[in-house]
Amino acid sequence: MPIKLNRGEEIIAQWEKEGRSQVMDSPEFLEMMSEIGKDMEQFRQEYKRTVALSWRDASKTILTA
Amino acid sequence: MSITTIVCLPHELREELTRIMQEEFEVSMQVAKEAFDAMLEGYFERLKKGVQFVIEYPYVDKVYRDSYYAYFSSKRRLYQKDCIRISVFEGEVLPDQFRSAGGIASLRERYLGFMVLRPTMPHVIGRSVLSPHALRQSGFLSLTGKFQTTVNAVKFEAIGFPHSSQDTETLTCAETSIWALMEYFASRYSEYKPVASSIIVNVLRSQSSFRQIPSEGLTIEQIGFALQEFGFGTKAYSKGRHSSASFLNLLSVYVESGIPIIVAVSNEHRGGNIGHAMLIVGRSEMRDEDIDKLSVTEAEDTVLAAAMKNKGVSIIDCADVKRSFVFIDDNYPAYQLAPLDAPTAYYDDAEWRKCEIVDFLVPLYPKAYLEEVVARRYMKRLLLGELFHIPAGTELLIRLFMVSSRSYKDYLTLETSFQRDFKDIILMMSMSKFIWVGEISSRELIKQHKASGLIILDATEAQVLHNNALVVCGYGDCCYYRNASGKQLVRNFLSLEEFNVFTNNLKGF
Repeated sequence: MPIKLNRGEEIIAQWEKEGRSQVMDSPEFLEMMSEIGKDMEQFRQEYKRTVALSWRDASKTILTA
Repeated sequence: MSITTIVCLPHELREELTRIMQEEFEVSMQVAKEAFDAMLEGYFERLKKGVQFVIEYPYVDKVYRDSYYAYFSSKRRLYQKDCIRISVFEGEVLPDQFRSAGGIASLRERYLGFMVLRPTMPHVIGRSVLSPHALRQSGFLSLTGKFQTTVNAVKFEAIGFPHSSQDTETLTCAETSIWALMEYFASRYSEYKPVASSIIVNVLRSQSSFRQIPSEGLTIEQIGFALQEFGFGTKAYSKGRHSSASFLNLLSVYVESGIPIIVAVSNEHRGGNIGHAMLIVGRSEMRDEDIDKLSVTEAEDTVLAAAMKNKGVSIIDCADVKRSFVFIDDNYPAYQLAPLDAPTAYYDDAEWRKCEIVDFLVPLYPKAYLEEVVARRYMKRLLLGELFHIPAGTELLIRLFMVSSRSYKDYLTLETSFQRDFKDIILMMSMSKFIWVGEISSRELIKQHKASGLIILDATEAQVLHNNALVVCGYGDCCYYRNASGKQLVRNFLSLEEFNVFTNNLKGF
């Protein structure tokens, strides 16, 4: 008889049944995560420029020795 | 034409090799001796006591043959096309051992690799793969590949990082770095192929406006182009665009990720004219005193610095540990150790010792889109947010590395110290081929090679605006994972306890 290996799913189902797990959908939590996401996106956009300039600078180095 | 095989002891090596080089390479004894003294003596001196050698000639070496047919054979002067191979064994080697099952098994256990001598006097050291265990020096971790070879007609497996000296005509530092890197990847992953110098020249033909051979070196851009053509998603980083600390931190994290890195070193900033390429393939083992010396410095990032101050929490990067790194340098034997801020510390020449790492190239998996700097900062933002209850005064130590999800899951399956339920949830998760992992620890825990928190990010998710890169995280008394739809985070009050850190990238810590 085939056996399904799903211990991970069983654990999650059991946690839900026991009320141990909580979906994080409160406005406060979503707001906090959104703030982190926005801050990170701003940082990422700024860093993209650093990376592009980094690539431009590095490309000139001649390696011969 | 028959193959001659000679077993010899270290003290017999100079006489044997100079005689064989004189005969096989058709050079004078003087030239052979000079080549031995200048190039080989230092190489063999680094080997641990008790090794024995097996010399075989003539040997057909695929890398030299490529250079020979593409270049050396076109010269008026006659260059020999055959090489000499020297195999290294730990302990005694008896001729009869090569012809009995028991003897071969014993030899295979004690095989430490090989080196090829090519007739490009005096730059005679060709393709070599030597085990780090062959050296007197220990206490470092290096990436290694496995290479099938033979000695006296018996198959052996050489384990080590590929190395070659430059012949200065078809192979300069730039080409040998590409060659060694591709040899390594080809030995580890079926999607990559080894590349000889003629292949590198062909790939770069469209990028070159001038004659390519004899080689006058390559620019970082050309190396990046070649690696891109060979299947990588290459990234280049320049010191001038980063603070010194973040530049070296970035490099250190990629080393921790088990990725061989091409570094460009130069003394031009100090009025010199040296530009040299080397590989970094590992680091020294972590010592308790290295951890103790780690200092808490204010984050360069003002947002992070403010968040740490507000929460009274400090986060130290494990990558900031001052230690030595393992260099593959074609001017020196393999596995040279030097700190990142003095990468040429082992050079005798004072001008060379002034070199600094100015740029580095990382051959990434093409779909690893999430930048290391972004991943690192994102993890810190999560730790400093309200996800975890981290008391004021806490000092966290974060160890960041990239790993294939396959390797990470394989480690987790057998890691008994990891919280079992959380482990099964992670193992069940669908993940990108590569992930960024942050292990959260403390000074005392990391000395025991343990951590108590974990953050896993999807390395294919460059977009961080909606927190989609976050796969799972846990620290203190709670952990977060995604629900079945993957759209919402679920929290569970579950302590990860202490678990052994992941050490498979560099096979040690």
